[in-house]
Amino acid sequence: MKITKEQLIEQLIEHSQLPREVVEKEFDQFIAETSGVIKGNPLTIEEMGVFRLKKGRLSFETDPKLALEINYKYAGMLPIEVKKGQTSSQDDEIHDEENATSLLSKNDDNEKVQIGKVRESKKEEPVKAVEKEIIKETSMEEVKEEQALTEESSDGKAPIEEIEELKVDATPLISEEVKNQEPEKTVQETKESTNAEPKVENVAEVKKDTSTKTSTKTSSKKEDDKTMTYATIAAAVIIIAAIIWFMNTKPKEVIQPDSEITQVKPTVKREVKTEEKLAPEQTSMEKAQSEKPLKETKEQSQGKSDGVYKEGLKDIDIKSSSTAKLDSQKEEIVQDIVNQLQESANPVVATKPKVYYTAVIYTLSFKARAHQEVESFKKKGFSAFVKAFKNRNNEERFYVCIGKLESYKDAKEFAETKLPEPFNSSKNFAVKRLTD
Amino acid sequence: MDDIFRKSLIAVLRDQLHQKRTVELEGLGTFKSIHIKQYQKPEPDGRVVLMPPIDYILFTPEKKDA
Repeated sequence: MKITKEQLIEQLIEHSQLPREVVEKEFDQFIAETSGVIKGNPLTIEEMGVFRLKKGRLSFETDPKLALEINYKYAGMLPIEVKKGQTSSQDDEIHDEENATSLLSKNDDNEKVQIGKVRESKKEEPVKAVEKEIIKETSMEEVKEEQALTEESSDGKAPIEEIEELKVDATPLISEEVKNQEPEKTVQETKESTNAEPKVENVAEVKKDTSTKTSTKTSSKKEDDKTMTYATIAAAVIIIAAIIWFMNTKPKEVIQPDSEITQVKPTVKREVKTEEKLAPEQTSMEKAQSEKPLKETKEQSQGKSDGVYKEGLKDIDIKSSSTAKLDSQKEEIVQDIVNQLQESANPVVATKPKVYYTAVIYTLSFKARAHQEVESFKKKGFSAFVKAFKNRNNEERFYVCIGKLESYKDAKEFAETKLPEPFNSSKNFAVKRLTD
Repeated sequence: MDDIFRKSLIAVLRDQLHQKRTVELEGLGTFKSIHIKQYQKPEPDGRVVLMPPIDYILFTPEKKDA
């Protein structure tokens, strides 16, 4: 973005608070002075710089203070010496490419191998080097042995045909081994060289061993990994199965006695009630029978041995058979008593909750305030009531409700038509479905 | 040159250059703020020097008709 002479003068006026004429005059004078540099001496303006004529052209050397003010972000930064190899990431890439190309050039067999693949083979180099050493060591040792054998044979003690063959075949091996002393040769070459000598069985075997060793090393690693994964999976499956089995088996053991106890208790009550009507002898017998299972059920609940538990079951069977002997009228009476007891124990189950719809006017946090509102509505003739509930934060709140209606429509109509003015608009009430 | 004018001229020039604006003075030339990123400078002795970034004022004189 450019700033013209006019804009500059405006800003100078604004900044210097000088009159326009003075500023324009000063500005023209400044231009005249700088253009006068061409004719003669350089013009130095304090804290701005020097206007100078260089090679017939006007140049400006900025004052160090102004230069620092302009370059304040990078002030104090100095040049840093960088080593050649670590100049930049691009250079590193170039180095890598060079290495890759050099490796490619070395790899005569696979000229089309990609750079990435060459790098992978680079990682495997140490393994190959070990292979080479093993091969060389074994072959050299064997060759030495063979040489010793040949020497023995050359002594003329016992010229054996096989040893002679070995001698014949071993000599070229030595020469080739000497050639193979170059570190850059691969294992494949050595293998090829050995394959060219089928007669030397020992050497071939050694090579096979080494090749199998290396292959088994890599394959065994993979197999180990696989076996580890299989083992972990199997272990996990076994653990899960054990947990499931444990979960399935244990509750049965726990639940059964409880159910038995619940079955026993009502029968005991029956007996207690029927005692009044039965003969004194029978009641004494019943008492004796009823006390036993009770004790035993307690023992079962305390976790006694299976033997005791089974005995308890037997007792229950005996007792149930004894109750079966009672008259049908007595059974009916007993059944009624049991039903009454059950109802008294679970009143909620016996009666269904009533659902209704109501118009909620207020939701208040204080019960007293809610009751106040209800009282005021009751005075006006509304059937108002308070309904307590708990909100999301588990805090107790109180609805101030008016009317109990069977359907949502009715409740809405009621609220819109019957409620006093500020509450009858749909914004000021909410129809809620509540239960007693 | 009046001292107040000089100081205000420097202040205005500095502010405009800070805002990456080019200040064009008719009859003189243009002042422009230039930013140079950091770069690697090879030295004649083989060393490579990383030069810091810099902001500086570039003055271009006005071309005058011959």
